[in-house]
Amino acid sequence: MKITIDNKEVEVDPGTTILETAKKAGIEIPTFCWHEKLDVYGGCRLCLVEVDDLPKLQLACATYVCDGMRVKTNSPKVIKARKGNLEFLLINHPLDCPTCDKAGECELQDYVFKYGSDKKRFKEKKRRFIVDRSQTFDDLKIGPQIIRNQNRCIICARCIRFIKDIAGEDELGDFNKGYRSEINSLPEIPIANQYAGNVVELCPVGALTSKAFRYKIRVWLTKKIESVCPFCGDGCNLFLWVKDNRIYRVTSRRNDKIDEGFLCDRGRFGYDFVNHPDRLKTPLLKENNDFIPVSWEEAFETIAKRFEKIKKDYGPDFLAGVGSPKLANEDNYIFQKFFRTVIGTNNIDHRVNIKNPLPGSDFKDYKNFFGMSDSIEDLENSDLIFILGCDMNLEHPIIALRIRKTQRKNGTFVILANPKRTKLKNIATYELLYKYGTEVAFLNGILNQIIDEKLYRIEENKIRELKDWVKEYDLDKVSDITGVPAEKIKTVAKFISQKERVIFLLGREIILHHQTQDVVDSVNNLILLLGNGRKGSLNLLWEYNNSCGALDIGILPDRLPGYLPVNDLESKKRFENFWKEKLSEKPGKSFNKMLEAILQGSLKAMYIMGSDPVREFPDRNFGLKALKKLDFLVVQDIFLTETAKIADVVLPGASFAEKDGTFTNCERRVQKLKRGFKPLYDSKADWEIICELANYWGSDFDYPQAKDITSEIAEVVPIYSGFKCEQIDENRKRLDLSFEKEKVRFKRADYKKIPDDKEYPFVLITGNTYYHFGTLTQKGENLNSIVSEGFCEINPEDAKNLDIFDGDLIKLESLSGKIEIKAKLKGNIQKGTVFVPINFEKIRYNLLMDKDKLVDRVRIRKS
Amino acid sequence: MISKKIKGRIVELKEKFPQRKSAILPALHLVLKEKNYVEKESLKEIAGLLELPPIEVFETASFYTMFPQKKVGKYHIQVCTNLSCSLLGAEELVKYLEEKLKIKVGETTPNGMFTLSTVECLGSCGTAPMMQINEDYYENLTKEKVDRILDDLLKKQI
Repeated sequence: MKITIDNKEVEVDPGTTILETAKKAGIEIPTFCWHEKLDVYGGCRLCLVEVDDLPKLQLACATYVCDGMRVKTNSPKVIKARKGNLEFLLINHPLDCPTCDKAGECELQDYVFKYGSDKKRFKEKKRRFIVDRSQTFDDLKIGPQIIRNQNRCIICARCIRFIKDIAGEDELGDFNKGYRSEINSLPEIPIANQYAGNVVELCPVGALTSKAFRYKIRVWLTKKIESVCPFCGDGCNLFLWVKDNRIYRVTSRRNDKIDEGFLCDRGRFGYDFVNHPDRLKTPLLKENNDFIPVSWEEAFETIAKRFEKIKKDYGPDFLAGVGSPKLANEDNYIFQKFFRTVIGTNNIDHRVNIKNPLPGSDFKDYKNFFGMSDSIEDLENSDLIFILGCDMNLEHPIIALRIRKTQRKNGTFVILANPKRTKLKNIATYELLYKYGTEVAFLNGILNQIIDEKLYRIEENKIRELKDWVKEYDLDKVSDITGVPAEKIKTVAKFISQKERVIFLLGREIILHHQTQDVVDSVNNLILLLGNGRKGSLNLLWEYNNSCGALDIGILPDRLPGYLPVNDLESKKRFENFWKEKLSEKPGKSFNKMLEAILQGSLKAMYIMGSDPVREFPDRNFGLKALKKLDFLVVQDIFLTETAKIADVVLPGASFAEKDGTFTNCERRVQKLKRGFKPLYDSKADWEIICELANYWGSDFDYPQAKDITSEIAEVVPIYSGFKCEQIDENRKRLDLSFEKEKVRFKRADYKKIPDDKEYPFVLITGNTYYHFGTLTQKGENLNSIVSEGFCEINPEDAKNLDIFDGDLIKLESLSGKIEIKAKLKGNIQKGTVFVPINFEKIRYNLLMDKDKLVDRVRIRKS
Repeated sequence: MISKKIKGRIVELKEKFPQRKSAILPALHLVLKEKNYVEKESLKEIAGLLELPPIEVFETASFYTMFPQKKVGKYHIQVCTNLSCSLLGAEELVKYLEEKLKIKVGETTPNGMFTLSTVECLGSCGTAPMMQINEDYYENLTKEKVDRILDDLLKKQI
């Protein structure tokens, strides 16, 4: 279709609005209520334009173009209407810009400046929504982080539409009408959902501001730094607003491939750990059980001397390094290079929170653990999204938004199979609640059902084996094991087989599973069985901001960067040539094996960078016992973590805001973060510390800047090849893993029976909470002001039987230990299950865990 | 509290519409008929009965002026103060009513007889200024006419 807009001819598709056409032609039409990611509302009337042959002005945002349409966006009529509308808005909008946080980035301010009139004809008193007569400003706290000033509101309803349509929540509404309209929440239901902070960013004026940022600084005094969220694996793009070595706020740096301009509150408000006063300030050396501050020189000397001695006395394999899925690729790359070349061992790992770390030693199975085979965007091109073992809102809140979006826009079906009820329930077609640990039985049940009912499209002769493997998983048996009603399994099996494009999303509960490999194999079996033309795909959603990067970059005992096997001679040679050092071809130990080795006396020293295994290893007693037995422990972190407390040398690293580098998100998109300010106090970027240590040792780690490491990664690591540091932000491509694609075949996976335990009847599930992620967010005040302590979530019926009430202090006990925690009665927890958050230092959840148990179990006692 | 009978009828409403939201208005009317106002507790109850988030019901009820959230007098005087009525003296009338009844807009006379409200357009611009008392329209108002109407209502009472 050809449209003429301000004498410019534009070619657009049918179904395009005038506003979109203007954008395409590079013509600005002012808007308030319109927002690209929200549904068209047509409420602010600012986008009025003149259309030839139509008597009245038309809404550019809500009028679709037709062929030959002639539009004027700047005619005298339009200019007059715009001026008029802005004048109306200013009748009541207070002119309190000098004290308004939005000043400098207020859309009303900007539009009045550009299009408004310099005359004011209304003399009436301005309307006020008085909250407290003794106050000058009518600020009302409508949520723990959200402050409303209704006087400034222009009722564009972006906030309400976001909360209702995008986030699927119902805490914000539009009350009364016309002149008295106001945005509010019900007093007993404050706006506190995990996406609430977005309304502050969406608000075009200063009506909604955040408690964390308001009255702290004028926006124009800060510098905007491009960064990436340091918490979950989604990898949302951020702007850090910094001044004088301090982050003042975080806003979204919209990336339509990932976050579409929305952030969860953890990412938005969780930044304040960076400027926390408890940050480590200098290197520390332990003397007589006390830490004394020392110079870097002294610290390096001690480390080099001790490591050298252990290496000389016992050999390089008596040393080990633990990297981190939270640090940048550059940090991890240098770390593994240091251990492989300077120390000469493959004892490197980063998977400190997994009992049964996979990928295992079976090389062929690696491909399944690469992560996501679809991109986040691909979710929109599916018929069915099958979520297995993942509370999406807790673990990947922005992917959860994308799932909501595709359900709403494209009618994508969603099936949830989880050990607990999750928030996506209100958009799911089916929800199946199984007992944690029985996933393989559940999947085999579905497989068997599909075979039974001949719902597959694959040739008969290809599934003979599979048929045999799964035939014992009949509906009744599976229902008995998993707790899912037989009828439901039957319905779901049928439902899946009717869909063409099915995306499986496997989450935290599968990654931490004792049968991860088997669950993944079963899902693969299911995808193959549906087969023939139907496209199914498997996605394992890794947890942390850089989990994928840590795997890719070779923080693994048996893999060089790019998953090249350490004992593959050709791969070894490749890296020996690059690094000009001899490499060991002996696979190293995974973190679990390292701990065992310490206790057996075959590992003497460890260097832990950016991980806190005492708090994260799923067996606190064992982990602590082993780490304490080390002859020498170096911990590099930004806080004095629980692991750092038992170290001999502690080195202060820099946070994500203080260094350049790259993170690889869970869909394997490499993204660049930029340094906002130099490392605080006497800390250094993690890669810099390792380089300096290596050089102190006499090696030549010559990397003046982080981007030199990025370039080396691009050169050396096969799957990162071709990535130029400067280009990362422009092409924002996902890494191509096609080289690993191998024909997937059916594989046998059997359910391992979990022994009953009458003494400890409750299954323990752990995870993140809506307002906290990992171990860092709890340091900051912002998120603590929303939720500051963790609760053990219990099913109300179980609680009733145990005579426990909401908020009661209870004891959770297992064979390994016990913790005290407050109870929270929640209907989303299944009977016989408890959920404990991992984010709170005081809740030592891993004290209850045993590394050898398939599933951790506890009993509950009243305190 | 909503009576059992009305509760039953609200639950029946739920099935009548493709979207449960659409049942909010008829439900509000049912409650209003029964007790002449719809207080917060009832709004919450309606939300529960229709299985809707409370905020949806609160938003709807607050949008319409015919669902007072506080108990109103026997006669609920609703004066239109929208454009046509205001141009023809509605604001004067409101002032006159306030003086006559010795109450402010939004209040009820101590004897529980009259409640005075101002409302948006009632679709009777041709006969402006006008007001609605309970379910009846009174049009082409003047001060004298208002006197007579109120006197009649009081007489009816006796």
